[in-house]
Amino acid sequence: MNAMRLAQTLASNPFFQFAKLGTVNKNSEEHVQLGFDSFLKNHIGTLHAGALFTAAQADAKVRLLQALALHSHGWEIAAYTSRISYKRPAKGPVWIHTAAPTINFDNRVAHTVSTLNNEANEPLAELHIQFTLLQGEQ
Amino acid sequence: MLDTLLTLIMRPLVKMQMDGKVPFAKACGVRLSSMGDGVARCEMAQKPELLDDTGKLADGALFTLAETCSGAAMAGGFASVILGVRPVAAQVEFEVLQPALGLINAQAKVAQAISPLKKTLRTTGKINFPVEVEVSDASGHTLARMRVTWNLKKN
Repeated sequence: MNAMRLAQTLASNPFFQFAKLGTVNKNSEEHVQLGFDSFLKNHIGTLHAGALFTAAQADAKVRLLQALALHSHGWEIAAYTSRISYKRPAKGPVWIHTAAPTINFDNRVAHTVSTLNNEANEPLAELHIQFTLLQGEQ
Repeated sequence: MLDTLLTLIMRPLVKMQMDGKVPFAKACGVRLSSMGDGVARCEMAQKPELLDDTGKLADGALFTLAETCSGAAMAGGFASVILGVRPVAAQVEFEVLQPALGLINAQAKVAQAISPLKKTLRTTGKINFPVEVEVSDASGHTLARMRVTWNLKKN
């Protein structure tokens, strides 16, 4: 993922700043990372579901916007539905890997799958997002 | 009879334990307004740090409000047995319908009858069930919807 674009996205969004979203380089690619600050936790001391969603959605959205930019036809995200499945608790920092989005321009939809991993690269949760696209100014 | 008595004793304690005590929900300003038999209401006021890059409340903040409310509905319904189970939110479906601004409310409801679920929990030791959440603004416009699948397992 483009490091500059990712950093700009995180810096321009107050809630991402509030959640202290950062970046991490894995296999020569930049990814969103969520820290393990005490305010990000839930009642049992692991990372809160809302903080995990925030990080994964940020990574997925940047990844899709980059893919859409390659087509340069003014495509934008109009809406989305999501499903996140939690496999095990996050007991430390988490980084996100979003696979290359599947885009169907004819039907104006895109799909992303983001995996939330711990520092040992073990998957903790998976976020699926179905985006609805619209074509704006070209 | 015993279950009713335990519920009466435990529900206010569970509510007190949940309201303003979960760190990330507290940081977002989520308040638990009410908790009943499988239902709950929560609210969250707009704050500058909760906004996204377009000046609306961030989806992650709405998610946190709704997920917290689902947990309160679950805990309210199972207050009498909550100390003997391990609740886990296994899956969350979430959809944002409209941009959100101002004071935001969430209403959550366990989507199945509580009594048969408790009976299954007693006999099998585990249950899973959905909690539906609707997020709305002060004018009553629906802004987002969530469906959380909760798993409860006896300790």
